Amino acid sequence: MRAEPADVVVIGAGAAGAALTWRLASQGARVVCLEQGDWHRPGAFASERTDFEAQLRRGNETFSPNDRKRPEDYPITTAGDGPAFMVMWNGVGGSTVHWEGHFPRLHPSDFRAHQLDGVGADWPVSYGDLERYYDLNDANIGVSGLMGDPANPPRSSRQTPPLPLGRSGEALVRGFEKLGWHWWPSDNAILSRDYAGRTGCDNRGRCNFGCPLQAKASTDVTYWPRALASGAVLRTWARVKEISVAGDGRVDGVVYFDRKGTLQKERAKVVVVCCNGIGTPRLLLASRSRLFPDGLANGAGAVGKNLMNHPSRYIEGLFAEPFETETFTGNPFFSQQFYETDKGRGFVRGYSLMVYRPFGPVSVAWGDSAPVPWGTSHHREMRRRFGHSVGIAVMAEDLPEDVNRVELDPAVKDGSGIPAPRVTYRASENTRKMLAHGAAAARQVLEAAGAIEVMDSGRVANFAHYMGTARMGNDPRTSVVNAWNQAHEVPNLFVVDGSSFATSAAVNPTSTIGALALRAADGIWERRREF
Amino acid sequence: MPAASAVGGVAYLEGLAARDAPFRALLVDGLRALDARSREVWRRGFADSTTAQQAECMGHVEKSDAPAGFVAALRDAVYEAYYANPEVWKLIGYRFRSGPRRTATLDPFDPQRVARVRGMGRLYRETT
Repeated sequence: MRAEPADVVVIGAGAAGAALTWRLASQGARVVCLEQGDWHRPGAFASERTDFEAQLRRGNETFSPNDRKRPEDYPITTAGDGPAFMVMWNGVGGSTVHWEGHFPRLHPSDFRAHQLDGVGADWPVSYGDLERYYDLNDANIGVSGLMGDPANPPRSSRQTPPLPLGRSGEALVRGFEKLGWHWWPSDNAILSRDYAGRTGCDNRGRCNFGCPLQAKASTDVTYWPRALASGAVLRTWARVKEISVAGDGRVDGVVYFDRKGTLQKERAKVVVVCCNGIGTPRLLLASRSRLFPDGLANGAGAVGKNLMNHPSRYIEGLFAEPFETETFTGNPFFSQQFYETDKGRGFVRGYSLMVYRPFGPVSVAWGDSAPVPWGTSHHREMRRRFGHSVGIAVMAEDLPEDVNRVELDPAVKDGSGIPAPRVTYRASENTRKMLAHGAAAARQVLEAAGAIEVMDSGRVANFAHYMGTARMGNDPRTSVVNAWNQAHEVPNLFVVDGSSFATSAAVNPTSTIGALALRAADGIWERRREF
Repeated sequence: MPAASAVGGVAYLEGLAARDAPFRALLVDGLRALDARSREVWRRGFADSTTAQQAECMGHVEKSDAPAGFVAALRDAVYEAYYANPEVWKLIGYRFRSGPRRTATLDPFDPQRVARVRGMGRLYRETT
């Protein structure tokens, strides 16, 4: 006798998959999550090794799957004027294993970019629709921060107080205060005190390389233990090949390679895709069938289009005064002085300024804009920089554009024979103007703070936040999913991750991904009899 | 400060070259270029040259960028070895804490620090 299909099969155990699985399992749904990677043992974190900074460029813990090439990784090819810097982690917790934990929320205006500013698209949900899910997500993972920020709507009490500014942060605050500009302690998914059985941060930094204290809220230490305790099933080393479709046009399960490379099928009443803004469109496009010859849920051709990734600039200041000589947790505060649209600036929408500190001495020696020179002047210059530098990153809102997209690479495949995603990206003129304005503003702050030198490579990088490639909207002709993250064309298929963002805003996306996941879970649960 | 070669720099480069074929190829080409420059100008192999002569060769190869990217790759790899060394950390004052137990408590944040900003009034746009 065949086993009953799972109520819900979730693909991907990262930020969205973990939250959604917990929410559904805790309400009584039978949930199976398929994850192509494995658990990451805390003792194996690169942060525990003296060569942690080498992982920025090489090694099996480096951030890019193209360099890492672990068995669970898939290659990502790039094209276009400005190929996106590819960063993700394939394993339980997804990229929250390697994220920095910045946890801002979107502004109300971010959900209405088209209505207010005539660009991008409006979301089919509002800030108000998501607010209680933002709060629930915060409570589940534990956030450090401070209420009362005038740049954001009032929010619930933060679970732990803000992270300290440190000497380098205090120096930059001096600059913002002198200019009379907005700044505020960041919401971080990093505990400043013990919370829910996890240990508070001790400010040793290196958050990107894995947090052995579990102070940083990667979902392998927040949602997954609770989801498993609620009865959810998590299958690691399960690489999904395609989502299968029944004759009635509904999905009926997921076909995947198990650890031995054997094809298996997990039958499901509902399938939820949570593979991030690159992996999700890849899987939808690879799931071709007679009924969906151009890929699943892609009748309008919107799957893979409108990729956004938060372009950035980084401006660094050198100060005569001594700062910390140990790494500190990355982002103690931010500014949204230039977040809302002011067309007098020559561009629409806006950006955040985020304080950053160097990873460690190797990064300082490598330099962002220029390396510390080798030779007789080396140690003198290293003494001038190490323990004396702090920077500001500009995070620009990226507008959705057709030309920026994820497609299937016609030639390159992963180790299982599944086509690799090909990412095409270029920063728009609006984005470039915004970044130039942001870089000038950052320089102004650093100079006001007393920097003796401002260093700027002029390079446009990005935050590797992948959004927009299966976007939500009310119009099935221009979007992939509706306000409940449900595919317009396939009623029992849902997409929940950065790909469902209609616009990118100018803040880190993970708190919104979590809120969308919890809300989508409630939508599935409330309508479970339809499936 | 010690020389990189005195704190394991050479062994690190050898290890890197053993597991990173493109780096190894660049290193071999670069060393050949350094040796050729040294023989041309100083009439002796690079390894037998004085420190000042070796520096001249490095400067020449860096300026000519042939082989392309060699000096930058070598420099960055040496920094990678040198500044990941706990002996060097002691000398520059870098403190590395690790392990699953908290090693310090955080300084409290003084809410008075944001008194001016709190008074700026609403900076975000309300929507319907």
